[in-house]
Parts: sequence; C-alpha cells; structure tokens
Amino acid sequence: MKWIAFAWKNLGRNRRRTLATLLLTAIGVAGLMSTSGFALYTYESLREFSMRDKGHVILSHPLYFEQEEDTPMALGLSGVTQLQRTLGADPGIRATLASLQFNGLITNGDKSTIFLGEGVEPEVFQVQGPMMTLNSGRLLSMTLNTADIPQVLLGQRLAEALNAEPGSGLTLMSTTAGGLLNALDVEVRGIVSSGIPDLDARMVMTHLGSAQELLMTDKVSQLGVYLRDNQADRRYQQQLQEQYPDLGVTPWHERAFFYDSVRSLYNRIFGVMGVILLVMVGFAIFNTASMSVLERTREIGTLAAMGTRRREVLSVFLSEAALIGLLGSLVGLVLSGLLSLGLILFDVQMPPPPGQTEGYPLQLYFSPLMALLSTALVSIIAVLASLFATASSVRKPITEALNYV
Amino acid sequence: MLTLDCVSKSYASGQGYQKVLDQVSLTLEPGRFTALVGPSGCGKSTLLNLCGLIDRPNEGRVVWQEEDLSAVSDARLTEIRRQRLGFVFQSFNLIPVMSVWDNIAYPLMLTQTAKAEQKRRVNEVIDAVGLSDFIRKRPDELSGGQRQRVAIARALVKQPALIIADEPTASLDEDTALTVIRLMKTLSHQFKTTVVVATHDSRLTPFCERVYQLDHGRLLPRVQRAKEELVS
Repeated sequence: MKWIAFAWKNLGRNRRRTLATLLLTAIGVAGLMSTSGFALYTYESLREFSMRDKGHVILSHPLYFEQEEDTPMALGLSGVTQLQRTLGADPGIRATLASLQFNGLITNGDKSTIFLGEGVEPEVFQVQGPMMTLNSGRLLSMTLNTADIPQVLLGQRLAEALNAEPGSGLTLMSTTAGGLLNALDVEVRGIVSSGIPDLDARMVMTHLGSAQELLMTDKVSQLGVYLRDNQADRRYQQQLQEQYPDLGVTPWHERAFFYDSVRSLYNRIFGVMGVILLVMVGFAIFNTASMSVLERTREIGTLAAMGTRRREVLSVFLSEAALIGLLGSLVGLVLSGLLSLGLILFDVQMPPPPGQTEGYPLQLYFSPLMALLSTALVSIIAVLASLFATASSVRKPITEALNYV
Repeated sequence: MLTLDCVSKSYASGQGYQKVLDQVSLTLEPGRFTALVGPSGCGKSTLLNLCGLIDRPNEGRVVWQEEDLSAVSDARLTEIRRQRLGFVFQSFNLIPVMSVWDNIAYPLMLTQTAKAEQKRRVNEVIDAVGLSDFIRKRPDELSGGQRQRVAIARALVKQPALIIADEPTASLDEDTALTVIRLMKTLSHQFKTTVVVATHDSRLTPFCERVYQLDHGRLLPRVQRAKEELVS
C-alpha cells in the first residue's frame, strides 16, 4: 500500500471533520474563482469596450496625445482619406474610422452651455456596436448632403438643459483651426445616453464633415483602426509603426484610462480578498491537521517504532492535506462553475456603478488558468499548514508518543 | 545478537532525576525466548525500549550484532528497526484504517519487498496465526485475541532477527493469553526468531528459555532457565 493510499484511508477516520474542512476549502476555492471570475469578466468587458471605443490601434499626429494644441487641430491628422483607402485593403483590418474632437458653446437662442463634441463617421454605430442608448429620435444619417442641415446627437442631460428634442434647432459655436469664432446651425437628430451622467450633460455628436465645417479644417483628430482579431493588436501596432513612421501609433490600452484604473482597483480589492480566503483555508487545514496529529500520537509512535522514517510519517499527513486541498478545489471549481452558469441563466444584473446610470449583467468568467492557479495555491497552502501543524509532533520521541494518552 | 553493557537510564522527575535502570547488562542470544519480569515500575518497559532501539541509555553501551550503537544516528537505529526488528504492543497498536492484510503487510511495504513476496509471506503468517478468514476485516471488527494475533503476524512477517513484545498478554483474558503465548512460542521457533517479552504475567514464564528478573532498575542475579530446570 502506498503512502497516498494510506493518506486517503486516513481521511475517513473522522468523516465529519474531513467533510467540514473539505467544504471550507471548496468555499474558499469557489470564492477565489468567483471573485477572480468577476474581475476577469469586468476586465474583458472593459477591454472590449475600450477597443470598440477608439479602435485597436489609433493613428494620430505624433504629438497629439503628448501636448496641448495651441489652436484647434494644430496637431490634427491630414490626408486621412488616402490613409483609409490604403488600410482598407488590409484583410486583417475590419474598418477605419476618423473622428474629430472639439468643444465650444451650444445654444438654443435663449440658453447657452458648454459642450464636448465629436465629429464621427456615421458607420461608427455599426462598427462599434452598442456603446450608447438611443433614448429618442434616430442616429446620424448615413449620408449628409451639403444642402442638408447638419445633424447632432445630444446627451440626455444636455438635451434636458436646452429643452431640446428631436427636430429642435440649435447652434454650435467653436473656435476654428485658424483661431476665429465660427457657428453652425444644427438640427437635433436624436437624444442618447452613454450611461455616464457627466458625459451626457456635455455630449454632442455630429457628422465628421459637419465638425470639419465648423472648425474650418480638413484634418481629423485621430483615425481608429478596428481589427478583425482582438488578439492581433500588438502585431498591427508594430506593423503600422513600421509602415507609418511619421505618425503617432497608439495601442488601445495606452488610452484606456478607465480600464487601467478599474483593473488596478480590482486587482487590489480581489487580491486582498484572495489572500483572506487562502488564510482561512490555511487555518482550517491547520486546525484539522493539528487535531488529527494529536489523536494519532500513539499511532505515530507505533509507525516510528516499526521503522517508519519521520519524513514518511510526515508525508502521510502532508498527503492528507494535499488530498483535502485537491478535493476541496475540485468541489469549489464545480460550485463556481454552477454559479457562473446560474448567473447566465437567470440574467442577474449589477446596480449601476458610481457615476453611471445603467447597471450591467453580473457574470463570472470561468478561467481554466485561474482554476489551475487556485487549485495549486490552495493545495500548497494546505500542505504548508499541515507541515506547521504536524512537523513538531512527528519529531516527538517514540517512547513518549507510545505512552501518549 | 544484542548486548546491553552496563546501561543506565534516568528520567527527569520533579526537581531531579529518577534512575529507572541502573548498570544493567544483558545479552540476548539468537533464537531464545526471553522474558523480563518484575513488578510495575521496575524498569521492564524501559529495558525493553533499549532492546528495541527506540530509546537510548544515559550510560553504557548497546551493541547490535557487533555494532556499537552508542554514537550512531537516529536514522541508523530506524533502519535497524525497519529491517531487523518486530514489535508487539500491549494495546496491539494496529492501524485502525487498515485491513488485517494491510496491517500485516505494512512492515514489508517499509522494506520495499516485492509484491509477490509480500503476498506469499503475509499468507504464510496469516495462516500461522489462524486469521485467513479475516484478511479484509478492520481491527475494530476483531476481538482482543484476534487483534493480538494480527500484531504477532505483523511482527513476524518480515522474519525479523528480534521481536520486542511489551506485555503482550496484559489486555487479554486467561484463555486467550495462553493461546497467544503458545502461538508466539511456536512461531518464534518456526521462524527462528529471538523474542524478548516484558511481562508481569507469571503464566508466561514457563514458556521462556530465559527469564530475567528486574527490581528497582537492577537485574537480579537470579536467572531462571526454565527449559533446563524443567529437564532437570
């Protein structure tokens, strides 16, 4: 009979205690998997959101993200149409979308307020997918003739502030690329909500051409490159850097400040929770191993008298802890898998995060790598806890152990 | 086989030390069935522990097959016990989670005996102790006598040079005790094993070829040679 088989049999000595320890370990692992699964889901969602927002790779003037512009579009990108045509021929690139960031005053004639504007290509809504909610009206039209009145989408709170609704006429005022003041009459096409109230109080979206007309420029702020494969971002970043050495080539993650801050925050919160769970599992196994070794002191003496080496006796206890760690992990993984499945089936929603107006679905990613890591960590903690609990007891003199009552 | 030369042993007791063995010298001869007798607290178990290499004397030497064990490591003592010694305890000390078979096979597992040889030897001793029908039972499913027979089989299975038995009949009723004693005697002859038994059970001494009397940690000059006395 091998040591591991002996250890396995020993788990059956006090079934209730073994079961309790096993369950506690399982809950610990399920907790680790759930918290990490939630964090991974959040990271993945934000990653996806960030990529969809500005593109996997962003082309711009090399200094666009580095320094403030003296005049609007001083650090803009020109010759974008030709650039888009060239990039569009690459089969790995799904789309390229130019955008222009600007700001100024928006007025309804009676009341003016500051806005943050973005000139976009109307395909943006198809390429990006659902990034905002259309509360009323319609999205920007796919084509806009020169004779047509320029269209805008307003953030919900901005529309409320200006008493605007679809069809209302407003005026945008901004500084042109040449430093002059310019105005553009626009029609409200739709009212949208980004889910972030502060943004909704300032947000204006219009056709790229309309924004360029207001700013009297043919430049754009940046060109977002959308890839077919999310994993190819680094490869394309390198490729575009080589292809366009005079342009600024920025990967999505360098502009994903929200993603970075959430990731940093969650890593700390869930890291601390993970440590607490591991410590809890460690103490449970320490307690079980301590009780077990105490109850089996005479048996340890008997085994040692028969010529069992100390490390062999110790290995039995460590194997028991490892088995509890492994079995508990397996049960924990099943529990977290079921929880993950249940959340998808029952569509549980999280409340809106601070500063936002909309909740999001609560989902837990089941990561095989995290499962492997949790199992390994819990098993190692279990063995270490058992080692601390039993090492001194198995070194007890044989005669003392044999006479232990 | 095993010689104890002027060994003494003391234990810490209260403020000072209590001498349990005082200058005891003893030689265990191969194949002999030897008893250590004396009242409780006379030092029998301590002497037996020294014979079983599970304790070391404070003074004197223990010599195992011409090897002085005074300065050897604990690992060496463990190795000798593992390969050459068997133990029978008063409370049987079987492993409760193991079956009769696994309990008996345990010493062979320690010595890494081949599976086929393990099977042959375990069958041989199980037959010898008459427990062939109980191999799958666990110790708590056996009577006291049966448990002690399992313990004897476990001690014999690796065919040790020396078996150390500490009060092997103390937990048994009279009939069972006699059966166990006869069994130990028979099997020690059958397997040509030296046996040393610590006992205060007078029923056991007629079966012994050597009887050493201990009193207050000293070996009395009287050495009973039961067999020879019986012959004379």
